[in-house]
Amino acid sequence: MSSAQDLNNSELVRRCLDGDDDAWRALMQRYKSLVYTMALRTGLDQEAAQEVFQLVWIELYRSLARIREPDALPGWLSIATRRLCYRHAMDRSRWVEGTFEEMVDPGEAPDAFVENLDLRRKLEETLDEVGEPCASLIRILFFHSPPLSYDEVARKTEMPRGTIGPLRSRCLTKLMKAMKATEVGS
Amino acid sequence: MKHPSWEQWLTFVSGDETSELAVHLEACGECSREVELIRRLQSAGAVGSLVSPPDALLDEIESQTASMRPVANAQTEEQVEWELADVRGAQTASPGEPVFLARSLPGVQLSVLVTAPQAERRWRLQGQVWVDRGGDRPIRVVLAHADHVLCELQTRDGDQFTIDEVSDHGWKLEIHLADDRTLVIEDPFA
Repeated sequence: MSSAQDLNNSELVRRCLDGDDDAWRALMQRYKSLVYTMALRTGLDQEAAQEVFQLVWIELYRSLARIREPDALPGWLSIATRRLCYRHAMDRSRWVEGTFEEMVDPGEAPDAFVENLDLRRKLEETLDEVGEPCASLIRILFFHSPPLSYDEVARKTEMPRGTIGPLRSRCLTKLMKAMKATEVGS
Repeated sequence: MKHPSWEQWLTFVSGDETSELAVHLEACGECSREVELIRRLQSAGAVGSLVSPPDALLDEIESQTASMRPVANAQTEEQVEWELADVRGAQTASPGEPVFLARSLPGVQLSVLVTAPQAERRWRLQGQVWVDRGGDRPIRVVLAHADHVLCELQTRDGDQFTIDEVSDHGWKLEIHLADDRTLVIEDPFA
């Protein structure tokens, strides 16, 4: 029997509705960083973001029987997070960066930011599966801000500069295979 | 086939496309897959790191949801149609000005005072439900928008309930009666 964390969203939602606590925990584990990061990005402080985070999951739990597209859960969570951040800001008469009307429009399709945030989440998971040294090299090449030169990458990874190019190619191939296997970004 | 270099592809995905590279991509599946991967990695990199909340928060949520149950989709729905005059009144009301709506249905009476939001999209709904039978049993009141349950509370026959919630237009107020019937009331301002 597969563990809850390996199940797709539809199966997790179905199990949650049957009262399966492991499925509920797995669903929260899958998207916890997505929701929390979005709450922080609206400008809320840590304490407020944690409060909103809890409210989002309570809203999801209440709404589980109505979720029409479990695969579109990142978009659903984004709508709930933005609305609750907005409400939190209004309750405390606090100006929050990005508090615009569209934040509370539940009809909005997930925007590019949410899609990319979810892509980042899936890639991070896939990189953990790919393992070292590829995970570190790809993170340093693509996720470092500001981008690093090959000399800086060589210094940070303590790899000879000449080995970075060939290793990068092998790592991208490995990542591509892993993504195909887990259907990341499909 | 001679493939373009890594640096050439990085320039290519950053938008400084050259027609030679575009032509190469059309003919080379291998490079096309690699460029697509580079694009995805760059998009994922541009949004910054994800931040994980403390695990204790998840424990806290679990303990809260342990005593809850998801709000079921209504088994049998009854759409409550407001009188035309009510709807007209609601649609011509100014934001912030309360509109009183009342309807009588077989075995149930309900009234709702709806105050549309002014600037903050915060709705205020104050209502009462009277039932002919089973008045001692709880009535669940749910404010929903699309597939989001925005808030849920319990009331009883004749008690007043108040909902103060942020929502876009198009909400639905659901009155889940103890006899499994659900009355669905749509936003009259929409």
